[in-house]
Amino acid sequence: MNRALGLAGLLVGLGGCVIGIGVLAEGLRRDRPHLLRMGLPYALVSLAGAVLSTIAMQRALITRDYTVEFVFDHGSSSTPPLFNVAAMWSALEGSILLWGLVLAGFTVAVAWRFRRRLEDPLVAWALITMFAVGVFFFGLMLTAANPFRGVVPPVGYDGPGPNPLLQNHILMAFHPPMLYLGYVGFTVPFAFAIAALVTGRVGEGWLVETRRWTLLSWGFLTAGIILGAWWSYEVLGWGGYWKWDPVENASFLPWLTGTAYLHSVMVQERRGMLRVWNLSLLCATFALTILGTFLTRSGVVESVHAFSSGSVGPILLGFFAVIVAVSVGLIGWRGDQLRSPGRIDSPVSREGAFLANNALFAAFAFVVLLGTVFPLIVEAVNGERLSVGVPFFSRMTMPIGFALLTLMAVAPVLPWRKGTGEVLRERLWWPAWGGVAATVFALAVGATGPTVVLAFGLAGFAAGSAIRQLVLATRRQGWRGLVGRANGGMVVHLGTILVAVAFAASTSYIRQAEVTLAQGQTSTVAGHEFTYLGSRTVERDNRVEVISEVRVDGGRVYEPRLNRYRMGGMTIGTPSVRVGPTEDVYLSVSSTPDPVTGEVTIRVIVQPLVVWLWIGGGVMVVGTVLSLFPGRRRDPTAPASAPVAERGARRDAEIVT
Amino acid sequence: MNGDDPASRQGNGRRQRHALRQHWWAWAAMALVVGVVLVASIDTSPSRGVSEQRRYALSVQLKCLQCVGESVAASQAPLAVQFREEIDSQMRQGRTDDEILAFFAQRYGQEVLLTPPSSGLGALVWVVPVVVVAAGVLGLAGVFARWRREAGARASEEDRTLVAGELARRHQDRDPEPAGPRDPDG
Amino acid sequence: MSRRTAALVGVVAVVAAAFVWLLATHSPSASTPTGSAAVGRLAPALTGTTLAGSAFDLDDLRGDWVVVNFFATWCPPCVAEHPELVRFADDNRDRAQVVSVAFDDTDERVAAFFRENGGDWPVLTGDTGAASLDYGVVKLPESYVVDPNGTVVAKLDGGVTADELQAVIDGRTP
Repeated sequence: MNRALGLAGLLVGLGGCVIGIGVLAEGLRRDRPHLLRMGLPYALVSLAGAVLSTIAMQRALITRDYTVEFVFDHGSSSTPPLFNVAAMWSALEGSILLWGLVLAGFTVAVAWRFRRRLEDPLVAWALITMFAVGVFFFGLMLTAANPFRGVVPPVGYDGPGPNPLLQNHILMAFHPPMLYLGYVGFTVPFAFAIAALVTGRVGEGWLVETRRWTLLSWGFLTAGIILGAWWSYEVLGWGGYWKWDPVENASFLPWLTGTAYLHSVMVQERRGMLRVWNLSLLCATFALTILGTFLTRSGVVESVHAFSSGSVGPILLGFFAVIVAVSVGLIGWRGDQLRSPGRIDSPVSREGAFLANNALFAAFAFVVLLGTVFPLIVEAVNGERLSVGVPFFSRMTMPIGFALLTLMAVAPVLPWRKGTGEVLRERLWWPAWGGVAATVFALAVGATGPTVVLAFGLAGFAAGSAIRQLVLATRRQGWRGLVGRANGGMVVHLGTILVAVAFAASTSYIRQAEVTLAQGQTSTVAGHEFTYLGSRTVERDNRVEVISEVRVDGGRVYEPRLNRYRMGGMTIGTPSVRVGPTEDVYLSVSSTPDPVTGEVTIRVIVQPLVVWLWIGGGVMVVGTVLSLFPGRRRDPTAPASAPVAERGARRDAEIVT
Repeated sequence: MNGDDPASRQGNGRRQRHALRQHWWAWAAMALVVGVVLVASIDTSPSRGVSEQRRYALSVQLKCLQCVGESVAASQAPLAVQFREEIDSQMRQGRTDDEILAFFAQRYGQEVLLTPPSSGLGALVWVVPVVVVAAGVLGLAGVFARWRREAGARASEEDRTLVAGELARRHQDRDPEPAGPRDPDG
Repeated sequence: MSRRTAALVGVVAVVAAAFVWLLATHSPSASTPTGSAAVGRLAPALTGTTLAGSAFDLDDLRGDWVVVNFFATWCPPCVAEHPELVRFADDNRDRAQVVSVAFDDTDERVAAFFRENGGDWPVLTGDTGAASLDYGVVKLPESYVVDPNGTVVAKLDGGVTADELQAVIDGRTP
């Protein structure tokens, strides 16, 4: 029943996409507006199919319908309800279904948003592109990654449930959907980029149309990445949240190119320049989301997150290749038409800063990509095995991060076209003092090592600059000075700065130790006292918890525990963290109490400022939401370029929205 | 924060108050403070001897070969525990960081080091990004130089009139005050 | 298409194609992390006291093939491969010797294990951590085949069969 329903949903979804492409293509070929208007209905059909399949899958999970192989493999009668819902994205087939659902949703959203302009060939091409991506994912589900494959369960069978790591924390219910909303959302700007290339209308109109879609996807991706880091911290038991793992890198790469795009698109809107570059960034971002999915799903790289599964890998890789080929081909074909008419007058200008920003983000993405695949390259060339890990990424990305922070301080105060030293000195005065104060403060609170102190200083400088812009804007426009792209962007900057500082401080000043304690014994690590009070065992439906009670600094009792899952017998720790504004104290148990001596081994990790990572992430998301509201816009008919003379340039910069 | 509001200030008073910002020595003073702080923050603690810190610093550079994608510092696998004990014992013997890392590399191959090698084919991972970035910067510099040489395109008189008219209209819309000479510093 | 655009597109296309080819041809399963630098070198020193109480030194066995087997009684694949080692030892009494090194185990358990499962070769117990580091042991069980000149010629991991070992000492590629 659930299988039939689910398969029917997939077929309906695929049908909606395929017929949608056919009808729209026919409408374009014969120039029939009434056919082009069919884009919305077919988008709705494919969404209906995806919803039906999702309902069938959820129903199968809830009723523990073990005739569905996916439930047979990943369902269990003892899984708590929330994780039972989330079981859908705990493994390959279900996560592709989620992908298909989100994609169909986005397709409908696009068709609805442009429902009055469906006859425009550009919108039609964009929908065709989205349908084509839909065909791929529905096709994948009907072939290699079918979530509704059948199986005959033995009598009395009960499934193993999702991977224990994935049902251990509530964040797992939110991190993957967020990430997918981000990943899939980038299909929209990509579709419009392809449409603009195909129709040859490479002017600026479509950019304005898709800016908000891109921003929205970027916000989701940011939230997804931060939630993923938080999940690692809360679950994996070693106090880390980011280790440059291939799969983490795979989600970070589209974030980097997407961020670069969000900045450089302003140069195009404003000056009509960098068209080829922007289109390439959009295509690259989308291609990287597919590459990321491939890396996660194919097991080609070693990663805790990777789960390999047969023929899906090659298919995803093929799709990646097609996207790259189509993008490169189209951009090459239209290349000369894309030549930008403008030029940048001076490197010391807003557009010059955006260019530098893009160079840095491109370099960042290149370093991350190279580091991720380098072991494969070397092994392919001479069979040698080597590793590229945290030390490489830290060393290579640190200078880029510093340069980005500096740019973050200087760029917001730069006028368009041409800035002068005088203007810079005038406007950077307080931000610079902010930076100086931050270095002094860092030293005063005991920071050691010039790199961290410098990071603090640059962060203070950049934060000063962002705050200056926000203060000026709110003085001028009241609360409206916080919304709109430029002002919301400054809020995002502040969030990014918080994350950067927290990252630098927590990775540089991490202290960790392992202590073995008998009941009642006390030990001191990094200035904190830990007293082991004893252990108790709690039986749950799906696991046995061994809870150790540890008093920290004579105050509250913390309860790190070990969970032994009944199915598969996997043992997974649940750390307990004393969260504080300046410092987190992280406790995780390494072993169950020794049967003879009653001793336990507890790993203690003390890291400063960790909580600011999550707060910074929250600020970034809030800033993104603020940017989504329309700010004070430039009158679209107003001439965008003023004479290079200084006064004119100054005015120009003032009315940036 | 810094009294930058253009509408409420008159140019002269502001200029005097902000003259400080244009003096080189004011900025030199800032640079000096930062320089002193940076020097003062240099960590002088010895890198030899036995300490948790040092063990951690070493073990994050080693890959736990028994696990998937974890460092020796993060993992609880038996091999990682054994590695950490070995690091302790070598620290006690007074070995340097490089010697300890080389000990593991000699037995387990280059793969055990999370830092790629600085020679041979593996060194490319360090070199290539630097070369690519340098090439990019040079390319951009070249483009700028060309633009500067060709800086022929100037705004025509027509453009100027258009812009001036538009700005005037804008200010009428926005400013209740009569349009006077505005502070250029905004 | 101008010549510069064409050149740029060409470069991007070639790099992308190479990248895809690389990912497509890399087979994840073939790359189990075995990294051992011991193969091809003189065998690291291996000395100690055997379970039977006599002194053991690997160098005393020069002239014979030696299979150094790292195992533990708590490791299921080690238990599974044991009969194969017994068969290999029985087949090659004249020219090969097996040595077992127990990892993180107690004398009693190891002795009981050999009583139950057979095998009459020297077994090293106790503090064997240094030896397993010297050989570069990653995951039990692992067997290192040392030739009569004292050079490690092969490393076999994840459970050996008698035929595999036979192939190595007969000079065939296993």
